[in-house]
Amino acid sequence: MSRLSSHVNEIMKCGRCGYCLGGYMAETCPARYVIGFESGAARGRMLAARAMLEGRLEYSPKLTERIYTCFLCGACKTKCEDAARIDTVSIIRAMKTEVFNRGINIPNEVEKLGIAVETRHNIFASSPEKRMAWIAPDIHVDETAELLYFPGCVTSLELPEIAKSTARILNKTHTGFSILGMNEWCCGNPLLSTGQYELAREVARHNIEEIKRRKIKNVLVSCPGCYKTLVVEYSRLLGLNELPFKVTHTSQLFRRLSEQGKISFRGVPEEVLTYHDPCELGRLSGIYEEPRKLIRQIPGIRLVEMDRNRENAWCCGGGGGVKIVYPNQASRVALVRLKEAMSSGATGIVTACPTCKWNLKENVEASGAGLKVIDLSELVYSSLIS
Amino acid sequence: MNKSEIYEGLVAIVGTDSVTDLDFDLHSYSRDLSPARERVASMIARPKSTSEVSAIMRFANRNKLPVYVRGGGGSHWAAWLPVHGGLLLDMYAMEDILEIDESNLTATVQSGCTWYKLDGELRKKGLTYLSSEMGGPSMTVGGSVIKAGGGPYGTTKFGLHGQCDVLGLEFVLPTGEIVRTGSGAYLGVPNFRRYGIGPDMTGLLIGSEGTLGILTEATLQVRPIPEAEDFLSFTFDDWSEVMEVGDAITKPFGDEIAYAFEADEESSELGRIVTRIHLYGYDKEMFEYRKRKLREICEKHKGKDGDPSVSREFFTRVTAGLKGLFSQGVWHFTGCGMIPIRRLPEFNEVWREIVARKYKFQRCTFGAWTFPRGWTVYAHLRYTEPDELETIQAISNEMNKRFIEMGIVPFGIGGPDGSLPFIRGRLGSYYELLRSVKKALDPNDILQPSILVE
Repeated sequence: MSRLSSHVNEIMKCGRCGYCLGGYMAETCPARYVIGFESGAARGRMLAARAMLEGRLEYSPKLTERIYTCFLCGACKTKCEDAARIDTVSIIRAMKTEVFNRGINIPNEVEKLGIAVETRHNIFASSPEKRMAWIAPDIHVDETAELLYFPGCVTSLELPEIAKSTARILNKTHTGFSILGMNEWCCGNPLLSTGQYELAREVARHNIEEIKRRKIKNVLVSCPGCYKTLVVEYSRLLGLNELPFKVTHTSQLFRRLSEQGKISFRGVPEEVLTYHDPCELGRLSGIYEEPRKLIRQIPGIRLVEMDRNRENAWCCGGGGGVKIVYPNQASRVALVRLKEAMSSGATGIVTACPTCKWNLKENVEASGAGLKVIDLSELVYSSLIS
Repeated sequence: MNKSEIYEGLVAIVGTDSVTDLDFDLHSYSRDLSPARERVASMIARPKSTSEVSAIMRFANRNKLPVYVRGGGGSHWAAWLPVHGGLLLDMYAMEDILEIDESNLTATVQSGCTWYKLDGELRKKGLTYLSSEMGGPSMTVGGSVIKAGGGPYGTTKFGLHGQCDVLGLEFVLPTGEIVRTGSGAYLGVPNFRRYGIGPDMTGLLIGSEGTLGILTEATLQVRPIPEAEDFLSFTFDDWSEVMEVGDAITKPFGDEIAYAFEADEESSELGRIVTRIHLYGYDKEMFEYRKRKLREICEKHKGKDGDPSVSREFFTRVTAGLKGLFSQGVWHFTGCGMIPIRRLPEFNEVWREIVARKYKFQRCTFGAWTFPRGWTVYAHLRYTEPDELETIQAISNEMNKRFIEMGIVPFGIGGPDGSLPFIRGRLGSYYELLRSVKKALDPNDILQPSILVE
């Protein structure tokens, strides 16, 4: 379903009700918020998609910018559940693929991303060995373990503290885990988000083969983008009926360990925290409660909700490849979320996504919020009874 | 001026980020909710203030540039589609709530503010608005007022927009002058009263479909949230009985028994009329009295008690959006307008004749809701684009023609893609006066040309 033409019936289902726009500029669609015009939101994009299919649009750098400025946060898709049930995310992704495949006016950053993944197998063009740099001397990796930890590019290379905390929780609870190491390739999510469908298929094939070769049945991920890509996209990309392994997000595993009594929390200094739902974990994967239950279990921490939470959560701005291609737009969206977090009365934001943490943290200073931004794994690890 | 000079002129007024001529943007504004064909503007601008709107209109006048104006974009009769191209103004950026006056029970908003946003803020203060359409989160106050719109919510009691709720407006004339109406325009008093000195200039804009001025602000009457609210549903098998119920509910003029009374019937299930009722009371005794009275009226007219959750779901999702909206296809509203209180069955019969018997179209609803001493009737067809477009347009044309012959007052007129072709030549001297007013206010015919006034 990478081709826009394969979505034509879905596109025609749009009745232009405008549910996807929400009730004010910064309510539902971050792309509309930054673009301002209707073309940011799904309603406008569905009309533009028709024009694309009918050959009525001129391919220009500005057109590329419009199409690529979508965070693929799924807020429109959720709103459309009440209306036409259009899979807007898949359609907008297909629009990006359409532009990419034409090869006209592709943003440099998108091309660089593709080259980085193709040659170095990660989005930062870092040397593949660096994927394992987070493995501190105290962390024990068991190459024979049946559980495979797949940290993903951002966790391994940009926010290693998430991988470290996760590994230490696993070690502490005697949950053995292995890793793919240099053979872990980018999951493909950033490629799909930037229209690079064929390359995404290639990395999916590689990762699946590697996992199968090790006879792994359970894969643990820190990144909701990896989670959704492995759970949903790999089967689509490779035409599989079923994945040969089960995928678990760290929030789900930590919650299970807690229920099994393997994780106990000590009292921590009193603190008010809020939880930011990552789009790909919440809206697009339906995981809302596990992180909240864990946070509430920690003595001393009071969890408060932002006005918009769960399926209504405002995107952090980091998704859809926008942070890579148009970082200023990603910042504008993050600032809205940080302001909202500040209004909740929290002094810190917990999230369960490395990209959310990355983008929110980068913008904390500009927001003047003085909030701390941490990943759930860090919070859990730092609150464990030693 | 050539196109690039016009573009630069607009950039000088609203800034680079608020004007576009990119075809991707233009196409994204090319349709409303109706099946009308695409109409693509040459440019789109997003003014953020009244002064920007004023500057745009002066600029447009100098350059004889057609200007069309859009709120939330949810018109279903081509009320803003740019028939002659030109500039389309997206008013959504003017979304601020300027004041909520808890003493005078008023709210002043910019015209791009949505009912959803306004009601959210009003409820924080224990207030709500009077009546509205059912258009979901994107419907704007400006869009509703400019078309004198209305939906079932609160309309049985308060009528359509403009009847009770609009106290004053700010608008920009086609030539760029800024006008304020209502008591707020007089001697520095608050906007607590619509009428006062001279004729009702507020009414000039209500229902004008944007042809006489661009609405930039509105002051609305609001009300406290009632102490008690409840929902009822009755089913009927005869529209004559439904008409009697509507007649009885609205007869105590000024003290209507329900806040809202709505009825509909599916073409796939003729003879099963479901009604939805919203009851309210600022006093529990009064509320109980109304509830008892309503039941008596419905039972007297052979209504059978139905599932009240249907009504609750319907009326509580006014601004959030109804669920399952397009589950049977895209909607096309047709035959929409107001009729006198005693004529409801006649219109239903014509709808049955055209939709159910002649075309045998199974996915169509005929509905009606009361306002004080009248009904708004409508039909909506659910169809698949593009396969069923011709069929539904044929049905729609026939219904519009017949309903107008029967004397319906159309809900909206729009342009050549809307209801205008059906009313052409039927409006007599009133229409001539409207033309004269339009000519006086918009000598270059640049504002919404070919919409409402030809």
